[in-house]
Amino acid sequence: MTVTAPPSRPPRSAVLPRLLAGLGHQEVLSLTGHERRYGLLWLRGPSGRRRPERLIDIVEASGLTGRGGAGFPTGRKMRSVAGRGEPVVVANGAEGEPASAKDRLLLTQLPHLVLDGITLAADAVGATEAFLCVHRQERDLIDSLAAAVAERRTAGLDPVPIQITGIPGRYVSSEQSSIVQYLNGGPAKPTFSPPRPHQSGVRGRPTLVNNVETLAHVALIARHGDRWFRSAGLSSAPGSMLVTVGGAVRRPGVYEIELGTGAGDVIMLAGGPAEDLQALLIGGYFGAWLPVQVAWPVPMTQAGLRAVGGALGAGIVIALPGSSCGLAETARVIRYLADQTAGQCGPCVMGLPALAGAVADLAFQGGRGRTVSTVATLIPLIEGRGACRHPDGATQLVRSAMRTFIGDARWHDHRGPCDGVRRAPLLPVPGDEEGDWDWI
Amino acid sequence: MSHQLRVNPIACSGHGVCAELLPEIIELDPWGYPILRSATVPPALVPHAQRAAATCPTLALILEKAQRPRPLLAVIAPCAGGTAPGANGRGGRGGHPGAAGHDHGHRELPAYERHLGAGGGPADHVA
Repeated sequence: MTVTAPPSRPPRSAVLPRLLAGLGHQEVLSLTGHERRYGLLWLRGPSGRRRPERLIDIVEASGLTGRGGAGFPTGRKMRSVAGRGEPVVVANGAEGEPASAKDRLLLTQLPHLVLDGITLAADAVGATEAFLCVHRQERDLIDSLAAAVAERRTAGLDPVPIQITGIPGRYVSSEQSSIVQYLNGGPAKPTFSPPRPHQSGVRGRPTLVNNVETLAHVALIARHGDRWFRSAGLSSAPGSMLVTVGGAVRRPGVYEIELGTGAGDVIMLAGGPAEDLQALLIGGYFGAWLPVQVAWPVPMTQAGLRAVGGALGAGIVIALPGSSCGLAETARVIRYLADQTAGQCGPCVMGLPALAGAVADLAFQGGRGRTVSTVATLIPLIEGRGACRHPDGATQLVRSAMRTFIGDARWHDHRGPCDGVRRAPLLPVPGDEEGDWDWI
Repeated sequence: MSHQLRVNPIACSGHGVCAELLPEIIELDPWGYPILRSATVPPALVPHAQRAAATCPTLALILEKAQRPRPLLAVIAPCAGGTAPGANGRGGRGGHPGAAGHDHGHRELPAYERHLGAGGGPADHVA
């Protein structure tokens, strides 16, 4: 069932890189270096007039969408909190996806681009407080960000003080309502909505929660304008995005692509397949498996991936080699996701472990000819029944696995596991010892 | 104007009272949590739905009156509680002594869910 990836030349973009322009391997851009490369941050126009809300128009015209996974239009989100009460800006840098590395790269190597974005967003919406949230177990990152913030304070750059906040490391703790509840002194668990954070968030105030990559784009849009932003990507999905490419590719890592780049070109950008590939996991653990021949030409946009039953998510692309077992990979991830439930909603608390058990049974036991139907029965009992999207993300992944690996699934179900289950796991799943499993 | 049912899955602890009082719409999953066959409540069942919502021990069953869609700006305005006369006002028809509890169970929600919800709303999960 393996398919050799069709030949393709490594794609080149005339307008990229943008976020990662001139960034050396492991280079950390200091404030001086940042200002030299991107220019100074201006909160007032050339005439000296203050028109902070103008940025919202520009961001709206740019077509920028959230890069954290949900892909909501950023300008519209900013407008929904602008000028109402005393808004709060929250930058979400707590990268929940174990397979994603782009937010960490931005925060460690280009902190000032993210901090510029926070200051611009805070200025535009009239915020009086701003938070930058990262996982609290990342002490070094918190320290380096605190130093960057202090350097900017000395330079008088951020009129609205930016507070670096460590949040618990759970998968669902980086969901926006979890962050808001945590900043309000509660557990970092999702809450029942409405009200949504933009209506009533931190201390009941309208709260703008943006992914850190989104804010880094805002920092560039403020400097270069919306037309510049739209000169990359598609007219329906403009701009660039960071992707984290992993699995069986020659050079795994974080890359910047234009939206609409084919998924196959993303693999080629990462050095091409390291082995024959059978499938790509696009969008991370809330994303979907796609057979490699289906995925290869699919444009990396929300709409493009949705059209083939996938999801863009936070831009994760993982190449699954033919010699791996997609069911075993899925089983390990679903077990992890089941363990990561906030424990609040019955269908998630009861359903995900049942689903994880059934998928694990199919992957590692099988042979009884009825597990495929057990999995199919469980999915609709879980989907759409949680307060957050955690259970739905997990079922979407299983659904896509049952579609993409249906031949393997029938084989497992009737004859037992294939040889691929013995291969070392490909998808990263944090172990118990690595995690910060407290909620408060 | 129609009545819509929702479950707050965080509050719900699977007592199952709702499925007994409103079997036409609510069934229970294998773990005892409610599954709504349809979110829309036919007019004839509204009194039963009101009673089911009022009787839920954790007030996790929410009956709301769907309103006409409003322009986005109105949607963004703070969700003013009690602007519309609620199902609470008529809750007495169900004759349930706990009708006062409706205030918590029935939240009259504007139609922003329909505007912003289902993929249209601001990022729910920003992982």
